[in-house]
Amino acid sequence: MAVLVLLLGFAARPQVPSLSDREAGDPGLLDRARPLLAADARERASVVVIDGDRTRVAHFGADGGTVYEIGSVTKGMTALLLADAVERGEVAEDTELGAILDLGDAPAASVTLAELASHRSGLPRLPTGLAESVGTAVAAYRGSDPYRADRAALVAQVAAAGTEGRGEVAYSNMGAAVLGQAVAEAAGTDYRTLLRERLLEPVGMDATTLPVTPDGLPEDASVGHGARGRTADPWTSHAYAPMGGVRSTPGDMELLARALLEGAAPGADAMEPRWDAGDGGEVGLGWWIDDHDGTAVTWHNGGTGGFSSMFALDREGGRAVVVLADSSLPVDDIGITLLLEDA
Amino acid sequence: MTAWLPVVVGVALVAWLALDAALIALRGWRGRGRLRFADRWDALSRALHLAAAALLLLVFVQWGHLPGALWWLVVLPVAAALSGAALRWPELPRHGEDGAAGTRRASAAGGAVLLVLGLALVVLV
Repeated sequence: MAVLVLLLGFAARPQVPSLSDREAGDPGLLDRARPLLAADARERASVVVIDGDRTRVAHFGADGGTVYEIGSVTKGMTALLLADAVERGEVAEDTELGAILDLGDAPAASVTLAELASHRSGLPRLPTGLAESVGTAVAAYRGSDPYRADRAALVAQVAAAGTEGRGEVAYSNMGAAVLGQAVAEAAGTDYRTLLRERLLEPVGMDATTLPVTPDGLPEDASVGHGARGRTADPWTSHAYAPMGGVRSTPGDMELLARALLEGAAPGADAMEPRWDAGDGGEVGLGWWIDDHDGTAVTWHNGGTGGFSSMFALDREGGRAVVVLADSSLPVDDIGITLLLEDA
Repeated sequence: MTAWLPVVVGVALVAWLALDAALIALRGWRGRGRLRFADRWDALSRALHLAAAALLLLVFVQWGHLPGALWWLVVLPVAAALSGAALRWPELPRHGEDGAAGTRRASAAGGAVLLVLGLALVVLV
């Protein structure tokens, strides 16, 4: 009996990844990042630190072209597209959602694009229908993509949603998703094309993609790990892609960070702090701004079933840190720690 | 950097299960005094609940935050406990004489359901 249990225990043991010992990059940054990243289960990870003209990188089992899901950092990109569309005169920050999408007399019809971008719309974080809630919970637990709604279904979910708490900051994936769809609609295109033409190509982010559906993934698509150590399915997010569907590389994230620090990225004004976030910080259009002992950190993090990311800027100091990892365990603190060191 | 809540929860659950398994192992290996199985239903019920708890721990604990060796703090006591129950089984009465055999039968049935649930989660998740 004991031998049988031990054999079963061995066969069923948690398959937890450990940080790859295949390293490349700046020796000092590798030494600094290694213990931070190795504290939790992840196999591949990349760190990019920008300080003025200088860039240092640290890769573990990865290189500058390794593809990661960046999750909700995508929301920051969607907000850049909104600010850019405002500059182009296609929409205004106070354009109501119902003026772009057919929402009838739903509460969400009067929500403005700025409210969506700053999570003040009152829309729920996720769809609240029973079937959708159960499906989301099961998928999230399994590490599979919980966002299966197509565009029509997303609009129907938004039309059915309430907007209680409107005006106060409450994080909403649904709001960010429908914001991206609305900005694309106002520009007369789809979100993927809008993202490519107005942000990725101008910044030179050639390796960054938005698959939208699993059909859009390459056969050798990167696979990450969930918090329980198991491999997770890719998240493409379908119509929710504007809130978290981008796959990118450390190299491209460096390009975006530099363009944002220099103010050269389309819609960079989105990062200006505008509203009280309710937790001591502020929020702009899609970007969070926190004060860390006198350093204003502009940031967005991301998490999918198998990946995590942190994109943090010290705009005043001309510094940025990007952390990407192939595990859903958060890397937010690592990013903030590295950004504030020597600030 | 590690999130502390899943670490604390994971370690606490592992410690609880290891302690429970150790007590069951004592019932099996000692087999006398207060720490003993009342009857076969008692042994079966405790073994099923323990195996189910181990499976649920495997599924629900965020092992990515914990050292892999912690899993063996689950497996080794469970192996000792189930071996002890199996060892003591032949000499246990089918039904205890304390009038609670029915309760233990129901408890064993509940343990069986939990075990099936745990197996399903391990396979499906």
